[in-house]
Amino acid sequence: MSGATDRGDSRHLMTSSVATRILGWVGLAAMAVMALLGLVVSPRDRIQGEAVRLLYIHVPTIWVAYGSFVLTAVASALYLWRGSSREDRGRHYDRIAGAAGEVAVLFLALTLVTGMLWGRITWGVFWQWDARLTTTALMFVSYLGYLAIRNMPADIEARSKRAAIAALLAAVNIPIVHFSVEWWRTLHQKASIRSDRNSEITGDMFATLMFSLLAFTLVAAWLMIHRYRLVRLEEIREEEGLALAVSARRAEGVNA
Amino acid sequence: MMTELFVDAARVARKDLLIEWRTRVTINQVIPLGLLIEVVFAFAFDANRSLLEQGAPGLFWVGVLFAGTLVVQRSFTVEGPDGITDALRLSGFRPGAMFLGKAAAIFVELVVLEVALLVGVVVLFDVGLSDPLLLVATTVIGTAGFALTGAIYGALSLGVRVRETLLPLLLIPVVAPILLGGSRALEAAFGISTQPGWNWVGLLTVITGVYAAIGLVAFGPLMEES
Amino acid sequence: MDSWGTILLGYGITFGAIAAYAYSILSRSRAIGHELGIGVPASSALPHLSGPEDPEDPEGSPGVRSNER
Repeated sequence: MSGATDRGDSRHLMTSSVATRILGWVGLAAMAVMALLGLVVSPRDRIQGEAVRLLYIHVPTIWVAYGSFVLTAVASALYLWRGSSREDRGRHYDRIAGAAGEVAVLFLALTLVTGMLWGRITWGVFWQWDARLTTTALMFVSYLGYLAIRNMPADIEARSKRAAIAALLAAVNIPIVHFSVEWWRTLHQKASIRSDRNSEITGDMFATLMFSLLAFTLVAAWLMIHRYRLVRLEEIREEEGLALAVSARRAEGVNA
Repeated sequence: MMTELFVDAARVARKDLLIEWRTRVTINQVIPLGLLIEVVFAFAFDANRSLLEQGAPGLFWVGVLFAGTLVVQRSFTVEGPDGITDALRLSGFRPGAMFLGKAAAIFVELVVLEVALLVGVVVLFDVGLSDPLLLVATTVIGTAGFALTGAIYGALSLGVRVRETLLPLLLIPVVAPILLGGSRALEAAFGISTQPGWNWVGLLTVITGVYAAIGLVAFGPLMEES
Repeated sequence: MDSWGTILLGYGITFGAIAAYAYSILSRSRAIGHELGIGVPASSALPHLSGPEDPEDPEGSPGVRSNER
């Protein structure tokens, strides 16, 4: 994250800029402070005990994941609707969708892991067939499919288009899955966690949670920007590779 | 305009079913596989009768899901190598007609598969029928939803080299609500649970409607470039 | 006391996964940068931040194209 300059120092070929370097360091510092607040400063909850500390990372991860899913869906829609009218044929939107989608899957995985650990402490088991858990797990898998489409070997335009459609389909599917799962669980058994059991989060705990949301958002933004740049670099490499292959073929033609 | 759409869709469906009739892949391979899935579950549950009876509705839908994925796969494999997609496009059919036609053909093949699976479930898992109308409504609407969704995702993975593995990964999480709703409704139809089953048929109808609408919109852009 | 182990595990996995992901992005970027002989400052990687530069035109953006391989 550090040490790169734009002054042509060839040993430091990095994708950072001044702005993202500052963002990176601020994010890193915020995460350190967040860990301190969450693990040391914040008091234990009267009802949940120490387990509340896991919520300081669980809630921000799902916030980042859902935010990124929204970003992916919006960028995908923009790619489909506005892409053809743009000079770069919407590649910019496609890269945003891809970067956000990958970050979303990472944070959703962390949501599931921290949620399961929290469940282990609170319920005694890692997994409950609770509506929210089940929906999240299905979302996770369907977005893995989205990433699989993005990574498949194919013509870049065709792939982007399909990925964009897949992202929109996945977004449409979230409410369908959510309501059917919710209905399934409420028809069959009472929800395993009642929301009124959750204690009021106030004071130090509230401040910790808010700060944690901020820290995770900063880090996610930093990750997304760098992921975007990596996509751009990969595209440049593909273009260069293609140009090389074409000139090699031309040279063959001359020799023959 | 609407009739033209359905006439064209019927042509596409007829073509697909003709191919199936001549090759008999679904009849000779997919249906036996579906039955095999049910038998393997009996092995997994150690042939525990009460357990299998309880699980019969779910196992039926699991069989439909996995064998159905192969039907969808097959439906689009026949399009790939010979460029029938291009031919259809040149024929001037609207994408919507292609979408509905593909889905209709998949639907018909799935219904044949399901009849076999139902007989298998009744014979192997010893379930009784308490509400035949609910059973028919659930399977028909659930299958329509699956066929429409399958047609969308089949087109999405058309012409991709990794299609065999990509399609199930994309399709199964999306049709999970159909499995859920279908299983719960069948529990009522089989008389296993006393929960109302028709609510779930309502859910299946909504899902089917949503995916029919999405497919009609999305199929055009999907076909343009692939 | 048992819960503390689980909590620390949760924090460890979360921070570790994010760090690993960040590292993988940076190292892949760096590898491609070396391969192509370019560094991509924000100006060419994120065009809208620096003005109306066309990202689809490698010749037009300074420092993107290089012969060194």
